[in-house]
Order: sequence, then C-alpha cells, then structure tokens
Amino acid sequence: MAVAEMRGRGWTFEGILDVDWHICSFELLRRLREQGIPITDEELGKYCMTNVDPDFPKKVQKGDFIVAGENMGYGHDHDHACRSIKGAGVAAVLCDSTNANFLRNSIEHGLPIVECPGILEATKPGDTLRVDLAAGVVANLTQEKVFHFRPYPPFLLEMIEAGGLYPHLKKEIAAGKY
Amino acid sequence: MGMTIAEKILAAHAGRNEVKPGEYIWCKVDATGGFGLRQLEALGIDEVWNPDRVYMVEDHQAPPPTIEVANQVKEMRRLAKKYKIKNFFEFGRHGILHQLFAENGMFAPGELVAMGDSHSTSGGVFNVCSTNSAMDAVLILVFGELWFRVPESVKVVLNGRLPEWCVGKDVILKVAAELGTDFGLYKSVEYTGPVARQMTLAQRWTISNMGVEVGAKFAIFECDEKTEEFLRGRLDRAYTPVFADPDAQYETVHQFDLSNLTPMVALPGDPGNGRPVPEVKDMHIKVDQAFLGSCTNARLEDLEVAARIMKGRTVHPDVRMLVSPASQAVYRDALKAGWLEVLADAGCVVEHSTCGPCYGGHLGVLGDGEVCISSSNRNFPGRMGSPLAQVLLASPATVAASAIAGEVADPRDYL
Repeated sequence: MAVAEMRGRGWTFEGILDVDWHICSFELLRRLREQGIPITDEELGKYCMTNVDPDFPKKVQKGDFIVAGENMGYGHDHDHACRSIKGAGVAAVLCDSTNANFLRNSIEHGLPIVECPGILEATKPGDTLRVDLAAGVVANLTQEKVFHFRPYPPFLLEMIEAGGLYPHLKKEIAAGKY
Repeated sequence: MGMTIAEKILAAHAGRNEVKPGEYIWCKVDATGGFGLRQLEALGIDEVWNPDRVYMVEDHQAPPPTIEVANQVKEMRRLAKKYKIKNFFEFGRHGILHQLFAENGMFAPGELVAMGDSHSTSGGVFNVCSTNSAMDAVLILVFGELWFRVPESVKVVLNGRLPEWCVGKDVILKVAAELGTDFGLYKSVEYTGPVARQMTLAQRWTISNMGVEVGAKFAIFECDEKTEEFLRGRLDRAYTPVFADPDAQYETVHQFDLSNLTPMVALPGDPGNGRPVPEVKDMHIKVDQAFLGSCTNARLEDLEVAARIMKGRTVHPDVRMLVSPASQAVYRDALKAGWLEVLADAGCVVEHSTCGPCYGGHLGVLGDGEVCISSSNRNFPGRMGSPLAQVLLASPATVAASAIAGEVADPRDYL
C-alpha cells in the first residue's frame, strides 16, 4: 500500500475522544482475554467508535478517514485504541490537534495522524478527502478546500509503509542495519 | 534565532545547531526504562545500546499482589540479568520510578530521557527533557535513539513571593485551574520566575510531575544550586545546565502573581478543578480516606509537614489515612527523622513505597461513593478505585489537616 497518497470518505466525530472509552473500550480487552479471543487489530476494529456510533464498524470502508477535533486520542498511552481504528480499515486520522501518546502509538502501529486545525469544521460526513503525507496536503474534494500540514519525513513514511515500528525494525535488522 | 531550553537540548541531541517546532528529528537519548526488553528479546537482539543507562523497578504492583504479577516481576528480573541491567531495584531497595531513578543518577541537567510511564515529565525538574515513551522504548534499547517532533514551547513565569504554607502543589493546581488541563498539549512547558527559584526542589518536582496533567511533552525548570545540591554525589558524569536564550521564541508566555495564593484543592473529576481551600472549607466536604503518597508528593519534606501538623493530634474517627513514601530512601530518612513515628502515632497506616493507592491498584482502593483527599496527581472517575468514588487533590499539608478534621480543611488552621 502506498501510504504517501490516500483517498477516502471522512467520518466526523465531535468532542473529546478518549482512547479508553470513545475510541475503544479498555474493558473490552479484559472481556476478550476472558473469552480466550486473540486481541488482533481486526478484532478490536469490530468495536471501533461503537460507544459513540454503534454502527461505525459496519459503515466504514477500507481507506476511509476519521475526522476529529481537539486533543484526539486523549488519555492513557494504551495502544488498543489506534489498533482498533486501524483494524476497522481506517487509513488515517485527521484532527484539529492530538494527544502526544496517541500520536506516537498510532504512527508506530502504522496509522498516520494528521493535525490540521480547522479540519473538523470544514468536513461534512461523507465528504471525499485526499491526503498526501509526503506533500503535507489534505484536500476536501467535495467542498473544494485544501489544508496544509508539515509533511511526514521519509523515516516515518517508511515506518508506516512497513506497517509500524516492529515490522519496520524487523526489516531493518534483517537488512543488517543493526 | 534564540532557542528555548527544550529546543537547545533536542538540537544538541540531534547533533544540530538549531531545531524548530514541528520538525521531525532523531535524537540520541541518554537514559530509558526497561519496559521494552521483552520486545527486544522477541526481535532476537542480545544486548542493549547501553546497559548502564537502563533503569528498572516494579513500583505499581509492589510487592506483587497476585500470582500473575509475581510472574511478571520474575520475568523482569530475568531480563535485567540477561541484558546486564545493573540499575534493577529489588523490593526493599525500591521506590516509585521517578523518585528512585533520580536518586540513582538517571537525570543530569541538559540530558534527554524517555521512559515508560506518563508521569515521566517529572525528570524536567532537573533541567532535563524527560518524557513518556511507550512501545518505541525499544528503539532506544536497540539504537540509543528516538524520533521526536520538536514541540512548541510555552513559558510560565511564576512571579511574586509564595506565602507561607503554600507549596508547589498549590501552584500547579492554580496554574491548571487558570489555564486548563490542555494548555501544554504536546508542548514544552518551561517554568521560571522568582517563585520557581524560591521553591524547594521537591516543590518544583511536583510541578514537573504534573506536567502530563496539563498535557505537556516536557515540564522543565532551570538548574540552580538547589538542583545541584540534590545531584551532588549521585552522578558519575559532568553536565552543563541549559538556559533559554534571551530572544527564545515561546508560543505563549503566561504570567502568574502568586503573592496572594492560598492552599488549593482540586474538586473531583479533573485536576483543573482547583479552588482555594478557604472557599472549599465552607462546603464541609467529608472525607473517608486521606492519601499522602505517590510520585507527586511523598518526599521527605512532604512527610515532614504532615507530621508537624499531626503531631499530638489524631486522624478523625471516620477517616483512614494512608502514607506511602516516594521511595525506600525517603522511607528510611523519614523513619530516622521520626516523622513516620509521629504519623503512626496519629493513627495513619504507614505503607512502604508504592504507586498502589494512587492508581487504584492495591493497598487502599476506594469503594463506591467514598471520598478521598489525596496528595497525588489525578482525580478522574475511577482513578483510585470505584468509578463511583470521588478524589480531591491537594498538598500534603491540606491532606493532613483534612484527615484530622474529617472534612476538607485549611492547613493554616492547624499549624
């Protein structure tokens, strides 16, 4: 998958989105463990945003975007939330601002986060968006609006392309970089 | 172009003359924790970049309350041995990581530290860029390097003169109440001004510790003789304090006049719910538990002020007060100084050093509908146990006074 340029629909969510409740219930992890269900991105994806919109996992299509407001991914550094978003098929999260822990966890799980102040207000549910990580451009093709952000550096594009930090490290090690 | 403290430290660790906010860079990291060792082993790597600068302890569930945790700690010991981590701290030589690691030389001014635990902003008190590192700690363990997005810097100038019986905790609760708990979101918050210099190191430490409660990436103080005094004899290396340039670019500068500050208490739900104690006192909020502990406020002077207030007095009949020193070293110092005896005589439970009660883990969790006044850092629903319990945050003096009164009380009435 070429992550540098992506195209999909935007799903908007207003207000604070906490990693342990709104994005994906932290309690879920315990329930899955008790039921002996392996905790994979795909499994977590079935519960993505369901505390806000119960039908979201059914409605979202692979390559779509979540569009959020301020302090996206508020709360603990728990990484089940970004895995759940990735598992639901979301290609990237666009937001007005994000939480540092959520930002790092997401990128290191291969889920790009793009901070664009004003993006939530400018996006209507279902708008078609184009995101170019290498160029630092978000285009709302439906509303014909363009936003700019600081482009992702090559090392982060590589990490995301590899699917996250661990797959990337494995590749680096296999290539003799360690 | 002038640089802030964080920009200077990050630039120096990236091998560059300058960095700008928003840039993505790779930095050499000076020290980290051991949470990533399991992943390191899974990657088949047999050594860490620098075993002398990896620090490990089990503090949250210390000593293990369950078999599962006991097995996890067993695994930690094995990994520490395998990777030759000499800074592994066994129970009895342990403490809460932010205190313990500092006592053992993890931080020196001008350094860059990233380790697992959200309160890793604590190390900023030593003029260090110190922050949380979760799954990417493995990058440090392998390469001794980590990527950063250079944060914007915000300056908080603490002006005036702190009144007697007001401490760092009252200052940060005031700052969080005025500016909100997201004013530092992904920013380097740099504290300066007359009150920053007036405060003891322990008081500044509380403010750096609660950096994460205001969203900060780093929460940094300047280095002065108080910093140097703490570090003396703890370090095996030279250091150079880092100061901001006079023309450094801060995104925002916040000014506070603290000359008329009163003790503060944060009402339940959010650390930003701070109100002056004299105001809250009139609300007669009854407490079931008082907690003096955590990486925020359980250092020697915190235990001392509580002991001075409680000497010759007793904990209210309807209250239990838990005391847990920040580290075994603090425990021993407080024992020798007689503070633990005073607190025990007053009817406190004196526990060993642990994170347990603060995060609702063990050694004193709250039941449904209970109210706790705590010297710790977080008061979200469920933080200290039941989601139906309520937590108020305050300084050690206010916690001690409230334990005696059975309701939120002003420490100045007890001194």
